[in-house]
Amino acid sequence: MVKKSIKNENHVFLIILMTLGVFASAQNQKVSINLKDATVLDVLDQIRQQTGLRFIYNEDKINNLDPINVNVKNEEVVKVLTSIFKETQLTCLFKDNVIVLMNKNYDPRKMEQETEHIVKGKVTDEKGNPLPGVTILIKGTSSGVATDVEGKYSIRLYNDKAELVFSFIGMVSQTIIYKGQTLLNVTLKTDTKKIDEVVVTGYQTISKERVTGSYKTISSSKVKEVPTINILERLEGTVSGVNFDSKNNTISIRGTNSYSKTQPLIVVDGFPMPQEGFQFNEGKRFQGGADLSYLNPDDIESITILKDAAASSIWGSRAANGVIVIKTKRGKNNTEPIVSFSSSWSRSDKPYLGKLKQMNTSQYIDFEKELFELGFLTDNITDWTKSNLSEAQEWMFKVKRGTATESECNAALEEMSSRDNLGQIKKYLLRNATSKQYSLSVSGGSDKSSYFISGNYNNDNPVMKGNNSDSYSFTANNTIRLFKNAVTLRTGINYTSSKYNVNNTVNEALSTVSKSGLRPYDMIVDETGQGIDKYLLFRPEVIQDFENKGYLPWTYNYIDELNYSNLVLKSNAVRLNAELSSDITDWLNVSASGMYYKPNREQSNLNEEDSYTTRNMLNTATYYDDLDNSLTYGIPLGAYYTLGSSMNESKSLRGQININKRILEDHSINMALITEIREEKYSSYGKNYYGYDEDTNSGKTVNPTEYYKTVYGWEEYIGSSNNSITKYRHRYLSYVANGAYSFKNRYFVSGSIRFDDYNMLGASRKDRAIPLWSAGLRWKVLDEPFIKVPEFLSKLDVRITYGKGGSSPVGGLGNNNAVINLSTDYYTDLPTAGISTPANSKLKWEITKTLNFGIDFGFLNDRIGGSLEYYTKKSYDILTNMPYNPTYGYPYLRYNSGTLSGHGVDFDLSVKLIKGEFNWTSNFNLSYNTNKVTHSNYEASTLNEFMSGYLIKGKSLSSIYAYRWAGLDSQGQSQIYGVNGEIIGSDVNSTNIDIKSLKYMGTTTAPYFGGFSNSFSWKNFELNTRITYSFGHVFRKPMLKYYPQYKGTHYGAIGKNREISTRWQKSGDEEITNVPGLANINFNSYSRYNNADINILPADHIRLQQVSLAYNVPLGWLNKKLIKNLSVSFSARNLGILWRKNNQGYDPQYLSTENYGTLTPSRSYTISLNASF
Amino acid sequence: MKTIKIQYIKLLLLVLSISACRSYVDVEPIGNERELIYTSDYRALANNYSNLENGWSYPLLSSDDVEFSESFQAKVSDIWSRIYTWNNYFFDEGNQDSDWSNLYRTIYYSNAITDGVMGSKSGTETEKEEIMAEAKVHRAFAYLTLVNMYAPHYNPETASLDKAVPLKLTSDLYVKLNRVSVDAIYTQIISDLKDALPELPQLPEFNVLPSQAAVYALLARTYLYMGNYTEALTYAKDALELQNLLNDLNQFSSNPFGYPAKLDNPEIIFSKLAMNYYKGAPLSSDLLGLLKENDLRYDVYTTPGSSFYPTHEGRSFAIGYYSYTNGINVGPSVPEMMLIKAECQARLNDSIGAILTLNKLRSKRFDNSSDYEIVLGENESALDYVLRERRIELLGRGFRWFDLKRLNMESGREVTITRTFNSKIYTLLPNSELYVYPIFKDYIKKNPELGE
Repeated sequence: MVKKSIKNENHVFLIILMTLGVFASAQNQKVSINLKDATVLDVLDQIRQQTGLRFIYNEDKINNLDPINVNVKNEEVVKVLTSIFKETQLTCLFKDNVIVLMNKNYDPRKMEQETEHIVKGKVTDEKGNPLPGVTILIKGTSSGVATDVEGKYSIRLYNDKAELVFSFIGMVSQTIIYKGQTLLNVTLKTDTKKIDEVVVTGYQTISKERVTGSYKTISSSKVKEVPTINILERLEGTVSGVNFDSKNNTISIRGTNSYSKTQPLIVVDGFPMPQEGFQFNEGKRFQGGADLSYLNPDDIESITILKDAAASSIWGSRAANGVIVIKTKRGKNNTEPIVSFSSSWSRSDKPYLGKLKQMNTSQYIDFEKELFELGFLTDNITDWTKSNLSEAQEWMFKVKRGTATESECNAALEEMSSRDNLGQIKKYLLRNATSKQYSLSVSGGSDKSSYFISGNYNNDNPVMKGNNSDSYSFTANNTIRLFKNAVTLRTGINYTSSKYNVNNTVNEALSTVSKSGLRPYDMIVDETGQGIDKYLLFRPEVIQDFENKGYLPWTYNYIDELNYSNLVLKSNAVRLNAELSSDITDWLNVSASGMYYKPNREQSNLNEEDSYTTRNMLNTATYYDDLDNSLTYGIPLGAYYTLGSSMNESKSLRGQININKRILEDHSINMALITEIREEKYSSYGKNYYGYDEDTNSGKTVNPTEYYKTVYGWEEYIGSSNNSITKYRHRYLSYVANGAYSFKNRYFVSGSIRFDDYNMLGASRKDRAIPLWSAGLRWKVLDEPFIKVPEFLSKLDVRITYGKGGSSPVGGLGNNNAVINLSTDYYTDLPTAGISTPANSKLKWEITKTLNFGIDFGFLNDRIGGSLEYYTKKSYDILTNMPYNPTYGYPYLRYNSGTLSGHGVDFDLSVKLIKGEFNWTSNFNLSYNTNKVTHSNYEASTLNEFMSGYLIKGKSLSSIYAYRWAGLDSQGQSQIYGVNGEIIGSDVNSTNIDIKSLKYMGTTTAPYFGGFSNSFSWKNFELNTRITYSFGHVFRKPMLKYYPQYKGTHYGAIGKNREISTRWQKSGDEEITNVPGLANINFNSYSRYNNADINILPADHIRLQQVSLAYNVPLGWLNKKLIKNLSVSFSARNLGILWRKNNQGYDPQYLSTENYGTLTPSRSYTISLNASF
Repeated sequence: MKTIKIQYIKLLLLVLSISACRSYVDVEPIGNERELIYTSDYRALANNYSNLENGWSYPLLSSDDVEFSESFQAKVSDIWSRIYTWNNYFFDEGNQDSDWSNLYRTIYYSNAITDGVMGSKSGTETEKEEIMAEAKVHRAFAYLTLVNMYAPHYNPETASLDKAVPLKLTSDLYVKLNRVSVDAIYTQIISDLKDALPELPQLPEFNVLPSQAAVYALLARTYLYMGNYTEALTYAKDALELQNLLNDLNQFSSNPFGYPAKLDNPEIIFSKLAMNYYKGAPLSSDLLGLLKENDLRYDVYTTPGSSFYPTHEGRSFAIGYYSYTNGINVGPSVPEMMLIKAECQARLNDSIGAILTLNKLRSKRFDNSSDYEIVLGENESALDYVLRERRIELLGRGFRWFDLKRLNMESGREVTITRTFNSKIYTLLPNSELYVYPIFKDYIKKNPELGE
């Protein structure tokens, strides 16, 4: 407060100074006054009498002033007046012999004669580099100029009392009062917080100082810090309360309100994106597959996250899980064109396959041997239709058949044990991932219009060979002022096009389940480097026999397959938006806007005739007739081509009335009334072409219902289940009212209400829509005059919001009518329908009520700043698919099943630890979120439900339970502890186990998570580090997969998990292992081991995501006329885990189980270049 | 002039901004998903045979039609072994009793139709009545199957006391699931079938859809199980009046894959399927021994066990295997009607009629060149012949299980089944409680009234 008053004094003093120079005569007069408890009018009257000076004032304003004491002798008038009006909203202006009393923010220019002055100067940054394109505006007018390439400007002033505003993106704006200077050089300071100062809700842009709700903004510079194609990776760990999971491509804001994890609503340039047609990263089929982005990260101006009840009351039912508002860049008025170019090149290490934790070759052979000896495997020699045995199994059965001796077999197995295909996998199937990004933009503007145009290209080649993606995007955002600036037209055009190639060969080769999955001794190429032809479907002699009869080659070759069967996903999306807005009066603005968004996706999969898929399909459909040695083809020879396409179309129209009125001095009202309609359409179709000829682009006609004979002898149809067209049309209507009222600029009250209606299936009109609302309050504590502020405190605002949000059931409510899904029956051609949502009279909306407290604080002149928020949420009538009694017709049913209460804390802290030539800034955020089921219509009642995360009253949603492990018995089978510590063997049926014997293990969602980033700068260098962490949760260790669960033949894949090698094999092993042995295996034993407490480990870990070093090339080195700014940065990503709580080497975020897809992304290195011209 | 233009634009913006109204969203969403409103929607529901075609499956394993060799015992799943040994539970926690849930799914669909079809929009009364009738026939079949699986066999003396299954006649998802008596279920079956009869076509467009023939056939089956042979005979004849074509197995014995697929099979009156999961069980030597040398049913109805998983050395029921569009039909068929007719004839002392009926069936089942005709001797009654023929003709599909249940109630026809499984001996005594399949405990946990 002390500081504040000083500032005010300066302000007044400046104005006084300014006036002094011009009207020296008035100032010279001196007065002597001695009055006690006098009104200001009395004082003025005294002055008038003593000097003859006259006053012009608004009587109301003068009368409102408190009585004052004045005791001066022979004092200058100006000083007297200054001290009188110091603490008031008034100031005085000397004009000849008249003194005008007016509001301090009153623009005196209007009263002045126009005299022309020219001010010239140069604008530089802190380092002395000239800044081109800085806007210099005369405050209160729309006229201004911009600096040239050398940072120079020249501006004409028609007034003696002008204020010049110097502004530039990313810099702190400076206002300088013209004091008659002819040369005015200005240094602008970099401002990283600049973007934070407004909050973009999508409907409005509100000053951050006024909002009551919980919003967090991610600036474009934060988005730019991480050079990945996937935007989610760029956002990981940046904001408290938000979990960006780039592995699963999901975002969750403040945990969950519901049992199903739905995504937040994404709003781009003011319009919500359709759920199916817009994701940050689309198309990615599996980890290790290519990345694709539908949004050019360089186009992003800001990302605002709306976290609390205000979000849903502004954006409606789809916003129950938070809203992410993205604003793209626009040009600035009166700016010289700026061309920016940025590009980055990344390369990653090949993945470390050891993390798969698989058995080595000899362990795997040992496992196969034991399976063989214990009779889990069956020979296939007598049945030609059986698939080919593994190499090791073949040898073992040879001995059994009598076609090889024991020693031959042993020698062969010995030789196989010496092989290891990991080297070949690395060499032939994997590669160093690379990605490239280029982006170019031009922006600028005149006083009537501005533009931002950008283009972008991404190319991604992930570690698995045969996969890659390319994407392009183009954006043009224009703003034009029409009709003498009465109407503003904003338009936006965005086009993205992408192509994504998928080849599954590598993914399949590394999988355990796939027929082409590699066992540890299966090699890919022979000694000469030639790809080995593998026999998969049948035994070699069977396949050779077929080939001799004229069948197509029926072997599989990894190296060849990398070139075949490419699935190509192509998509393009057009987004157009336009807004016309006009000020009806100075406080009333109306606007009409619209958006059209049309993403199209096309999926084509060409399986060449030579591809295994096609050869296998054709051969299977070929019948050999013994009698005349003829082959009959059920499917025409040639390639197999499938084509699928889907289209979304989203159209929105909105009308908005904005009211922005200041009433008297202290009250201001800010309102927006909005009506909006939106239509979302979707359609998709698919088609298959058989006997496709790539040259003529034509397929052969087939009769899908004609029987043909397969190689096995039975009959089959070709069929075509994808000749149907899927369609929907959703329409939405919304009314929204947002209001904010502020009093004395220190109390802010806000409220909003929204009414959403849409053509929801199966719901009656009254159930389709419910009003959602929120209300909030903000108090700027430090501005309160009665509060004494400690010196170190620079900011303290308190906020609170409360509101009701809700989400309508996805896919229809069905409380009025059942919802059905129509199609045509494949065999009878009759129209047929299934019930997709049964009529359920008791279905209601899910409702979430959220209470949010927030404190925004700043210490030591805002060197330490941040916010702390606490929220509680209560969700009612949560809809979920829960196990139901199938006697009602449904084993699972969606219904309003319970009440969930949750609470959490979001904490953000930013500290400028060191300031000066060397800067060190730390940003830390912590999120805590937990929930508890407080009531449930359906509660877990069976062991299985307890262990697989169903609702358990009093526990959080993702709780898991486990058996208390009691070691293996002497037969190598699982034992667990019962309620009273008694040992339960695997022969005891699960139905006889008391649920109370289970142990609560914790939750699988991290209650604590966040990020920690540090930024160091010195001269032209900047070093950034980003760390993410999560604590307090547990995970279930990868289980014994593809391990026999019963005695008898083991079907399907054989597991490769390293844990299998430690299995119980002989009596006594129970002392050293917990993995149940094969000899007496049974389902209870298997599943109890997998669900035992020993296999649930703490998931707490800290991860170093990125370290990057940037260098701003000093412009002195370069031709300043050509390049204005150039920076180079180097970053290393996915640097691994810094600390983990589990001591078994598991990465809880990337549990590598039986397939490659779950491997932690390998380290990658990126070089980026940014330049502007 | 220009200012006027600006004023117009401003006015236009103002109008635009307040012009949305609720009728905008009062449209039906186009596309495949929609509300169940129109009669044509109900028609489509009634055509959805994949949800309505559910039959039974566990009887395929529990009757003495099957026998697991020692080596086969080691290969079967726990579920198979529990059904095979008449365990007091079949499914582990967290699984589903699939026959129960499938049949109640059929009942849900039927009830959804009977609840709403009469009030549906833009259909004629005749259409509505027909759809309603079809739903009732599906429901009757489901209850007839449920009552025979999960309740003691119909006994006129105790039927009103014997607990059966819950009788759900609406699609309401919140009613109590109290079980009703065997008698109540049978009463409902008969009333549903008789209500449906006049509204249906004599024969269906596809055998997955109900027809008058299906109703007669189901009534015949129902009355047979109730021991009302007079009624059973009447309805079996009525059914055969409408549909009586038989496949001549001579056409297929050398190429069994040519056996007609389900929808083309003239013998099937009303298709209902067992689950594929239960196919391929080894047929007992006892059963196979009944098949005489020239009986083509051996070649067409059975196939080597190597065609199934798990494989075995013996033979299994084959028809489901010829084309996977087939399934294992447990719905009424022409041969079943002939066998009911013959059985009732025999029981009603028309031995000659019974043998004639049997011979008519056998004429399509034996090698053309062989002597297929039965000549009634002294040692065996016509009923003996009929029951043996019934066991052969309906082999491998679980009919035997229900026959055992009813035959055990007749003195002199009781059967005790003994089987060894993993060196343990299991015995199923006549009229044992184990003939009633256990109600899955998970379901009782969810709705305790079900256990009462």
